[in-house]
Amino acid sequence: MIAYAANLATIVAIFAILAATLNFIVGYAGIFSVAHAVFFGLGAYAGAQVALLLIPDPLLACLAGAVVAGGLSLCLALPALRVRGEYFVAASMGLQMMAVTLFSEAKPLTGGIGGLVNIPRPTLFGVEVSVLPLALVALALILLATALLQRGAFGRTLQALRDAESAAEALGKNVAAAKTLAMAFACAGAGIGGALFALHLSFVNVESFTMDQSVLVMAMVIIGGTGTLWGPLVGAIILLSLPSGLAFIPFIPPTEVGAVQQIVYGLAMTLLMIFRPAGLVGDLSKGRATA
Amino acid sequence: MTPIAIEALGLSAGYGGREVLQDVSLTLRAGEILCMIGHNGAGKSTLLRVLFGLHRPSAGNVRIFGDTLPGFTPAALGAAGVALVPEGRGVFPDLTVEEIFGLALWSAGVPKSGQRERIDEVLEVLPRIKEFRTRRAGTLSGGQQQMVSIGRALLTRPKVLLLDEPSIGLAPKLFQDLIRPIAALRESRGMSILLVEQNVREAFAVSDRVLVMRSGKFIFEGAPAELDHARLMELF
Repeated sequence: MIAYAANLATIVAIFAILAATLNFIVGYAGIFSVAHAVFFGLGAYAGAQVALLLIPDPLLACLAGAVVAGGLSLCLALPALRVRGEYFVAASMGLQMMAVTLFSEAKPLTGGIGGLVNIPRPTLFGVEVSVLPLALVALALILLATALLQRGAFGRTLQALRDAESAAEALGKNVAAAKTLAMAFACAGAGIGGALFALHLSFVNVESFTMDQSVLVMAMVIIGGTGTLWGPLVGAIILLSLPSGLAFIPFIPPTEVGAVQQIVYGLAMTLLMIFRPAGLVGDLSKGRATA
Repeated sequence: MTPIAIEALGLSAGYGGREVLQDVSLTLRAGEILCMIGHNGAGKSTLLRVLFGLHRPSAGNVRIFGDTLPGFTPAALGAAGVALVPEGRGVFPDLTVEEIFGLALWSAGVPKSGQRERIDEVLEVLPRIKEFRTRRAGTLSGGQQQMVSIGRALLTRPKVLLLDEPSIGLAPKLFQDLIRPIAALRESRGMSILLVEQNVREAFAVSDRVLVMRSGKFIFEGAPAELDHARLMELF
């Protein structure tokens, strides 16, 4: 039971990192990307390769994940500079689909469909460590960085872009630089999440980085409250814990748990969007979430 | 000789290989109100975007008060005294008018000690803003939003104001009430204004000179009086 809870907590922390970083571009910059799982995947493969080929140092794996995902965030930043709104959603969808194919085919780097297996357990200074405390520290640092960036000049610029890009341009804001930096920060964070994910499971394959995963992370952000600091964390806890919790309800036959999970999950999302469209942590009075 | 505020020479620009501006040259004199008209898609807004550093031209150059700015960016142009009021008002819907003004002053690097004076200057030109300064911009009418947008630009004490179709969605009387105090800044502050408009009648009433644009080129330049109804119909 303790192992189950620790595993769930680790997965929740990793997905909270994903949701918090996606929220940075969706909630603060208004860039609706449905390709966040791509950068999660890039970080996971980079972290896994570091552990497999060099040493299973989680800090080095996270650094590699952040650098690879953050560097390749330009793939997403370039369309974001040229198109907006639904056009960008379509562009990011295209990137997501292309990346899944590349992940499946680039066998020397990703292991192809079979993925990368036997990733060594993480060790720090020669001692094996659990991923849970590392994921919690990474999550705390990302939330802290988000809070600091959001309150500073950069955060104000992003929010200006989100609310009225033409007005932000008229204020002399460097739209291209702000969008590129926001994207790099968010994707590097997703890369860190990916590296921790690979080290935690000791196995990664393309199934974890599909469009479904991107949509799940987007749902965490929206349900928790876009543009809020704590909303993505709340969204990750609810979307990952609620279905697991249902498995322990005695009167639900074990064979039906999956179906009940889907019904509860769908119903909760529908009701939430009707009664709290700004998300659980969002500020209803403004019609848009705030921190 | 009257100094030149903006001098653009041989500007060409486009999107995705499609040329929208073709070798366009323009001169805006200091203290002049220059009106630019033309049908939709003629290239007027693109020209304003180029002049404010938001769109890079494929050819040509622009001088501001005789200088070629090293980095032709909106921030550099703002520092050189150019302000843009974008098409579609461009106000931040969730912010109050006071917050928008605060953001504009902060973006322009105006110290706190000088902010009150700047706001008072704008309220002197557009006194009606006082009535709704604590309201969120998203709850304001079109005319009020346009006032806020222009007020935001005036906070930077511009020497050159680029106005992109400020009359859109406004009743003629409302536009008249809005444009006249702005036009008066030419006399009181020597401000130059480049006004892109479709509301020809009201725009001509305050303009010194008119440019007519068609398919990315200027096809007429002259005084508003030279464009009677028949000539306008012919050019459009």
